[in-house]
Amino acid sequence: MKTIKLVIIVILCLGVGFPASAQDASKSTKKKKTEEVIFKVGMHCRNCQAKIEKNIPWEKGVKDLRVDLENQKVTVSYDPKKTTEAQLQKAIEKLDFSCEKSEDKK
Amino acid sequence: MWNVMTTGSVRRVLRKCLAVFYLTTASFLSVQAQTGDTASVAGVGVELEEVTVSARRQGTILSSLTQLKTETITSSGLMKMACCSLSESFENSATVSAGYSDAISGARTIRLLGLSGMYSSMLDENIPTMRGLSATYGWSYIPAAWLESIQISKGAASVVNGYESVTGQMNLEFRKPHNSEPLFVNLYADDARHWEGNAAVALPAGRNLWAGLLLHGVSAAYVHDKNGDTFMDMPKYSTVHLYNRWFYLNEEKGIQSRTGVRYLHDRRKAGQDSACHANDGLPLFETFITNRNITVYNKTGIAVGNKEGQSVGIIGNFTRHEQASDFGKKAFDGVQTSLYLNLLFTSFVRSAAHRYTAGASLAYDRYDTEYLDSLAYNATPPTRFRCTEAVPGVFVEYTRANPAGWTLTLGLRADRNSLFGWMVTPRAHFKYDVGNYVIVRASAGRGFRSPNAIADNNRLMASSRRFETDEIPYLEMESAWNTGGSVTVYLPLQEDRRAALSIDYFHTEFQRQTVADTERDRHAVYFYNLAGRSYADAWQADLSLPLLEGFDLFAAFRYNRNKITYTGEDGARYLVDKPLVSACRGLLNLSYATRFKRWVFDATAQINGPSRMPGMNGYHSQKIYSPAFPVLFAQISKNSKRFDMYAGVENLLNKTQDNPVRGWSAPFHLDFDASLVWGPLLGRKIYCGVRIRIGEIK
Repeated sequence: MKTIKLVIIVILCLGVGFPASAQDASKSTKKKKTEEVIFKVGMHCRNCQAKIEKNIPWEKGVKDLRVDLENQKVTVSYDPKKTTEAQLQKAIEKLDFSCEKSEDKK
Repeated sequence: MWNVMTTGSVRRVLRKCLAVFYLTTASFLSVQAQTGDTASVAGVGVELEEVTVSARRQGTILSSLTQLKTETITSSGLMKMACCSLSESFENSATVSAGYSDAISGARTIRLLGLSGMYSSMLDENIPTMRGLSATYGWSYIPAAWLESIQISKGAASVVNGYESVTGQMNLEFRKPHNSEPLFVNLYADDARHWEGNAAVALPAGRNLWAGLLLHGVSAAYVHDKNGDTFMDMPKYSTVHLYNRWFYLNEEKGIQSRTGVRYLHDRRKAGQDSACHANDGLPLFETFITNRNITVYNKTGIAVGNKEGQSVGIIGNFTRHEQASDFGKKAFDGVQTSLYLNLLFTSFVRSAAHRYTAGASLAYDRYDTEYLDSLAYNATPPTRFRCTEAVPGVFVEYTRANPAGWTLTLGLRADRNSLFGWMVTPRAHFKYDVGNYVIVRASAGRGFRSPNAIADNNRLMASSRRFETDEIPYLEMESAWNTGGSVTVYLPLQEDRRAALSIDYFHTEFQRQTVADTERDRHAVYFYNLAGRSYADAWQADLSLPLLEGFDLFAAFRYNRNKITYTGEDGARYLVDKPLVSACRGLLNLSYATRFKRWVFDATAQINGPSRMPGMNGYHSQKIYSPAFPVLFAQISKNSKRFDMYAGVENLLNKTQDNPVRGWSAPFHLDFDASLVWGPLLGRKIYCGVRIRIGEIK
């Protein structure tokens, strides 16, 4: 009985992830609330890419991140109520990369 | 620094770095190819075209780049479970199975292709490690928190690393001082009041020099005896493990050097304890084990000449391992001193499509061991074994990479063993990329290994069996051929996701082997040279399937058929299933991670097939099999930039082996035997922990 209870608890705990998934999906429908900015970043190697990927996601308001090493572009989706392009640019520069807003489309 | 370099200087540096990269990683990568699936390529800022990186890496990756089929357990994979030690890192892998070697000492052992881990080659960043005495308990000493990744390759490995690998190779990549955060701390505790702490410090020590310190401490001081057999379920132990690393990189001069000093001290007390056994005046079966190890190494690569990728490398390693163990009235003490030197030169003929590595090596091992058995009925005299083995060798390996998509590597080495004479080791590897979605691999090769009869069968110390040691001085060098291959199919899915389906088969055929025969007499173990066949077949299928963004499935099934020939006193031969080897294993891992892995949910189910139990009444005993058993794992992690928390449960169904200590009520009696372990010894374990990162995240 104890075992069955434990199995149920674990399944329920794992189930928490799926609502989270659903939340992600619902977020995508609310994309109007997020904005996207593309930066031209002076990345040269995979370590540079990794550094961006390990740091920028944790900046306040960041909702999504894509790093294109080949074209030296970093695309950030963010919540404009929580952060700004300038703050994100500053966060990338703080990692010792040159960074400027790119006018390129997606 | 890269930001201010011109394109020309970048190219120059890149050429030299590539040379150093080839050299310093050659041992593993020469056959493995550039294993870009791992997190960093020597951390030298080298950009390899093939490399791809994903911010949301799977826990287990089947590489499409390596020439041998290679399963990489990534840092994500190492964080899926408690993974306190290296041996516990394989729970998400069907390739390697890990378990306890006996029901007393807490020593862990692994199997690759159904054969004991001693037949696979263990590498510490491409330097052979855990050989001889240090292998007995070594799987428990390397904390997973120190590791970046583990690469497991099946089949004959590169000749550059030596002649020892028979079933495959496992390479450990540790946290690097030059690309890790300044301070990383991992704290862990479980419901058995097992406490563990790991720390990794990484600091720049100069313009081209970085220093790292890895610390590991464990305290398991409480006695647990859930099954009431008066024997502790796990030993009480305390471990301290320190690893100081230095990394030097001069990109302009094309020099890369790594130096490390490692110290280990482990003390454990197992068996019966007055805390769980009222001895009533009778002697307790107490076990005391102490291991001490010091290892010093240097690995240096220097780009030479003008050819891109041409380099010279030298690897040096010194290890001293001391072991003292008492199991009731038996004792085994030993000291191993080892020295390893490897000099290699890597270059090309005409173009990079014709690459070769040539070199020379020297392996020196000195063993001084003593075995004591004070059980009166065994009447075994103290037995001291001393031997010195010096093995100089030369090797060459040629790799032909054809633009049509196939790569062929041919390797040959010749070694002269001071005890066993000449050894010739040919090996070949072939990889063919059939379009973009199918990869066919094949390998064949020979491997050798010096037997350490008692150390290799240390689990039998946990029994009253008499060790028939007369034949030990006459044991031959073990040798085996391994052949096999695999087919991997990559199926493109939505966006950039792809599924990987792989099927492989490997056959290991021993020519010479040390047999530890526990079936001729239930009260003894006989060591002798193999007369007849001994082989292992291993089939495996893996499916890696990213179902949805962040939701991954990994499933695998493995089937083994292991046979060994015993020789009776009358010379009659008996080809039997190798005892205590599980015939099959199934694995299913489901993993879900929210964006940026803020939350990670993991669930793993294993089903382990039955094993044949050793016959207790001679070779004609009735065949008895252990039951199949499932093991379930689950873990939840909450991650952030600097702080992660995780909690989980292992062996959720609380399945344990019944009566793992046979004859526990009379531990000094003839029938006492705690070496017949086929399943989990510990029940359900609930654990939690934190990971903390301080300083710049690189």
